[in-house]
Amino acid sequence: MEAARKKECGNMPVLSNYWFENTDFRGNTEFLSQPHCAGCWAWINWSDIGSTHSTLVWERSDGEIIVDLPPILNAQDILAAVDAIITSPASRTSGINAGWIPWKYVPYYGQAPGRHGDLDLLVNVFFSFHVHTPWYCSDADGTINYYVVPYLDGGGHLGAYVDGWSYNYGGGGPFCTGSINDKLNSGVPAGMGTLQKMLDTRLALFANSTFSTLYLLPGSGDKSGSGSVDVDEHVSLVLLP
Amino acid sequence: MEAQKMSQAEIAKKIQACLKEIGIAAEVSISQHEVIVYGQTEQAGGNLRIISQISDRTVTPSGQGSVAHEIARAHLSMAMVRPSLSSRSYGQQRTTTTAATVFDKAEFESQP
Repeated sequence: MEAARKKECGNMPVLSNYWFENTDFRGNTEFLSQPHCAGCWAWINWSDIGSTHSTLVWERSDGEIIVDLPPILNAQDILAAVDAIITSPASRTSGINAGWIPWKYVPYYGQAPGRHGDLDLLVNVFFSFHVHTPWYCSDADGTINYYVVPYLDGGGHLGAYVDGWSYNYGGGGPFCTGSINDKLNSGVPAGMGTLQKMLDTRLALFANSTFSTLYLLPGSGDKSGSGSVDVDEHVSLVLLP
Repeated sequence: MEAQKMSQAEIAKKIQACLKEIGIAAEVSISQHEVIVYGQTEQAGGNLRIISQISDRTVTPSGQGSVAHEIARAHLSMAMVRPSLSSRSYGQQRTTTTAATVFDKAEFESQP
């Protein structure tokens, strides 16, 4: 019996439990991951999970290949390419974040709701920006977002494409919001091509590999321990051979 | 549109001329949809700011768009596996086709 148990322990799946601040798996996320023997119970005691409104539990294979997205997206060549999207008097003021967003919360959902399933997860790649304005207006601060759809094709190859974009900001009043919009309406959509090229370069690294499953996990996809992360800002892409 | 643009510019010039008459040197900023006349002057020990905007639109501080439907469809026609939380089950009442199981408390409580 004990020998059999030890044999099973060669395979160590992980039970991960996520509690989300908001419904539909959004916002600040408490997580706990518990490695366990295959065929064994995994248990989690958590006396206080705070104010949470949705939860996910996932039994994870120990064969996961985890791709933590923000560190990859903050590579110098990508930052330089992104900085070319918005030019003076606008400038990027944050690193690049990559969280998940269910389709029904994407700003252009209303234009074609059937484009994806309501709870299909897109990767929201976004950063903050600042716009200097003339003295008769307040400066503006906001975020620029690109929505990326990752997928596996019929051959099991990893793919991804930029599905759309959005921006929003505060400030720029009372007279400069028009000129700010003009600048963003030309620069931000054009940035989709830039981002797609960057994605294609990274995806090429996986061109010789095939996978059976693709999913996203909050944060860095930690395999043990607990913590918190804002899933709107940080996710990892996970592949199974 | 061109006629309107000329009209905006003419209005701006008249405002600028009026300000000049009272000793205020105003500048004009012209963009595709807006013309702004702005100037400053010292009067009675204070700083007066004069700003006029002539615009042909109402602006909201947000925007969004997506790739053409054909491009999205071309990609999605290749996609066999996508991250989604849309497959649901309720305890043991239903099975799910993915490893994710979603428990919706409100929906669960509404079950007979």
